[in-house]
Amino acid sequence: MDIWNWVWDIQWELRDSGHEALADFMDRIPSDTVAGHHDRVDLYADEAIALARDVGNPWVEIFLRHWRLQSTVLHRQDAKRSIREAVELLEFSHRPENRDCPQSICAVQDLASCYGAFDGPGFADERISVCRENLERIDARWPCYECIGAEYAQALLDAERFSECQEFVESCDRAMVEAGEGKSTSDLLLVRIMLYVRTGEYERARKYAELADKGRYIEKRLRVAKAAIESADGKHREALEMLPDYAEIENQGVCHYLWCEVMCRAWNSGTGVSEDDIANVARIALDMEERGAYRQALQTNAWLVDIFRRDGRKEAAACLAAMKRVSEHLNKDLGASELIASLET
Amino acid sequence: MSAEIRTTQINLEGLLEVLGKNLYSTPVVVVRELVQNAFDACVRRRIESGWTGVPQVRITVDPDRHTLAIGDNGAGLTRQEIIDFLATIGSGYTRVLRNRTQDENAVGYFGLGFLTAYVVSDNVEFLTRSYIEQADCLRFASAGGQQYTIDSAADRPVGSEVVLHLKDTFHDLADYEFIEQIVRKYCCLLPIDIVLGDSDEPVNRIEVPWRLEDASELRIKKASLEFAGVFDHSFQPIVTIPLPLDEDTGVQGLLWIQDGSYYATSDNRITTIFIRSMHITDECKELLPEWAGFVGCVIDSASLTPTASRESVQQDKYFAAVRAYVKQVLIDAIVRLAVERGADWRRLQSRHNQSLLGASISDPMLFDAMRDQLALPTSEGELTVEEICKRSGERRLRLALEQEGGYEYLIARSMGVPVVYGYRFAAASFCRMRSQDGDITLTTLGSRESSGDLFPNQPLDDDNLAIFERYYGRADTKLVVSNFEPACLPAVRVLDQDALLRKRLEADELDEHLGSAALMLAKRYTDSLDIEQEAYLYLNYANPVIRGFIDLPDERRDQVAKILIAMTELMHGPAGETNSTAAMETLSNELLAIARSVS
Repeated sequence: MDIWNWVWDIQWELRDSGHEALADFMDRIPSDTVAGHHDRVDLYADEAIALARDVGNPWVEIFLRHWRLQSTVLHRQDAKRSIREAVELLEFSHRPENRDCPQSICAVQDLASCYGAFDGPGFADERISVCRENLERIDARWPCYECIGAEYAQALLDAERFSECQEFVESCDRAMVEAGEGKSTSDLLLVRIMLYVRTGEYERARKYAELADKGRYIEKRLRVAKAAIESADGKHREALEMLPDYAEIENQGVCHYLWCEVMCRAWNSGTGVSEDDIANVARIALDMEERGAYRQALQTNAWLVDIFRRDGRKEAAACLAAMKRVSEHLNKDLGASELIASLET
Repeated sequence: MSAEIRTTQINLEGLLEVLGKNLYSTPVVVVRELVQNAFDACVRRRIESGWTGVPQVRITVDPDRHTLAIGDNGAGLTRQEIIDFLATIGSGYTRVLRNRTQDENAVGYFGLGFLTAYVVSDNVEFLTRSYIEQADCLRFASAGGQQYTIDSAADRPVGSEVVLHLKDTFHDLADYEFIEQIVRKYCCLLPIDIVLGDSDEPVNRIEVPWRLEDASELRIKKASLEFAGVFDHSFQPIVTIPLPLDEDTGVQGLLWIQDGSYYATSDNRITTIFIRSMHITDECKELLPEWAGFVGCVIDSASLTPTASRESVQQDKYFAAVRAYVKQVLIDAIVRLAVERGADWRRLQSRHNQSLLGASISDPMLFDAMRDQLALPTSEGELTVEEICKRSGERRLRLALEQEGGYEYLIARSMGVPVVYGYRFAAASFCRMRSQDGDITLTTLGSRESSGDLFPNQPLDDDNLAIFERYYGRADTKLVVSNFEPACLPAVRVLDQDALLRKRLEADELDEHLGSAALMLAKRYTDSLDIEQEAYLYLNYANPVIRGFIDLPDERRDQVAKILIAMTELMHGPAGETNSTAAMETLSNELLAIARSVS
């Protein structure tokens, strides 16, 4: 299933009928999203969507709105700002006249991703169910198969169902090979890498990291993942060398958690982390809370409490307060109270 | 085993090949490098001997003999200097001169430029007469650079001439037209006349605006536009901005605003960098702020450091300082234009207002400078924030995210309140950022805040309120007696957006096509919303029908209420959300009843 076919066709039609700007937006929004130019997406997305409405083409509207959510949710993890739009798009894209639009599948994933950003482990069961339903609507010939598969695998990983995650990732690869698409080299592979990091199989993680697509789509996430492998393996200097600068990931919320983890571990090991780096971790922790990435904010603040307290710094109290604040928004406790209690003593 | 001190061996042949073949991306830089050496020789003669002659570089070619010669009337070299500098790679006299005199006029850096001669030539001759040892005219000759000879040469004036016997693959260089192009590009700022062949007409003469002393403002402006036009091949420059000499970085130049762009986020930045008047690169967009996609610039700087190939600049602290300076000048100039509101600003704004809106969002410094200068697209035309506030009489921006009209547009228009088209490029983001300062409130049309703000409560005693409730009250609708413009509008029914979303998610047909897990997750969100009512009915006490409603007999009240409710549903209910047929039926029946009662 080529979910882009209708996009090419409609772009030709739009250009032929004088709607050049709208056709251009259909190119621009995925391209800027993938390239990380999210500020640009924010500038023109409303205009693009308004044009699609003006032309009266709901499929184009769904396409554009989905890609805006890709930018805000998948890349920036800005769940708080995006949840309403994700729900509205889900409803809009499943109206009788729109539900055949291939991107209606993606709208389901956008919503699941929102909840994953709020509280990945806390919403793991719900995300697993949503992705399972969604995968039943498509097969491995769809390009979104890998994307939705990755969301599913990530939910399994968040739920610490490691063997299931491994089996699922392998079954996806098999299905994609059978469908002539080849094994995953991007989203699903990244989950696989992190699976091996979580299970302590660092060599295996390194091996899979080398198989990843070298394109810009996952470039930064891959660099962070590679750094995370080294960090988990105790090779903090190597990890820091691989880690992108803060400026490179500042607007890439999807990279924030691992970036902070690598930094905090390296700091704790006494390896070449500056005060500025820790200040950036603190900045990210605030940003996470603002975005509604509550579980990640909880853990990141926990690392900071630990660091600041050891240095006798008063920021520790503010981070602990932040932990309490964000814990109120978690869907499931899953050790949050215990973590806070352990830091309060 | 004791340590042994040894000297690193150099494979000169290999090194020459690597440097020669790989240092430069194009062989045409040989002209730039040798012209620069010639220029530096003239600077040296002036500094060291107080020479007051007219410096000149003359380039001659012989297409038949495949030679290219670059001569100057500079200082020339003594025999020892030939050995120390010309024949020693990495050792340039210019560096010595600069260190000794602190004079920044000479251009050379690395002592590598002469290497380019070997890249393009089988044989290189260097004929010279030094101003120091004028008795000797010398000839340096080398094939490939590894070995050389120095002997006496025929009599010649003070100065030097490099003669290149070009390799087969570089015979193209022995062409005046080609050489002229190269000179125009690389040497146009070099303050020395460069002439070709027998001509005495310089080919590198260009009016450099920042060197025009005592010229009228008009002349500088004209020269600036012409100068910018030479470097910008994509767009016509419409406004130029001088980049005055910065004492800290030694940078000066010219910025300009381009005529047009393809789209507000298009990046058409043009940058040309000269270092000490010698062209280095046209490929350094990052010198300008990322948002300046409609700006071009030419700069000349003494503080920037070229890379060894001198085809790009090192992005060091000086580069950062120059970049910051350029940005500051650009922002100051744009603000100045905006404040003056002259023809230049009108030209700039008519073409790039959108780009600037977008740019200001990504650059806090620009935002601070432009927040009250840029125009937003509104229902009343393009207006600045202050103009909007003046017209509406309040510190509030009303933002529409949908193109559709609706009652709020109607009311806002009747009140003469501009509504910002938030669906236009950058407008919504700009308004949000502008409202963060706290002195402006942002209201999005369609939101509860917007309704509350547009429909202020009309104080009424409880008895009267009860009468309105009796006739207009409905289980799913909250009744508000309000007072708003236009007075001719008796009532407005507004659907609560949250309630609407929840209702849509509960539709049976959605249930059939959307997986239950996804639906449950979506409902989780709508369940968390604080929904008071499905709809709000605002009765307008400013309207004579509503104001006189209380005084009507019961029967008439009933009739009027039914008509108004039906009318509000027809007017404002979005398609599919209200039962239009039923509303029309009610309206028709009641009008019929009125007609019958009158007759």
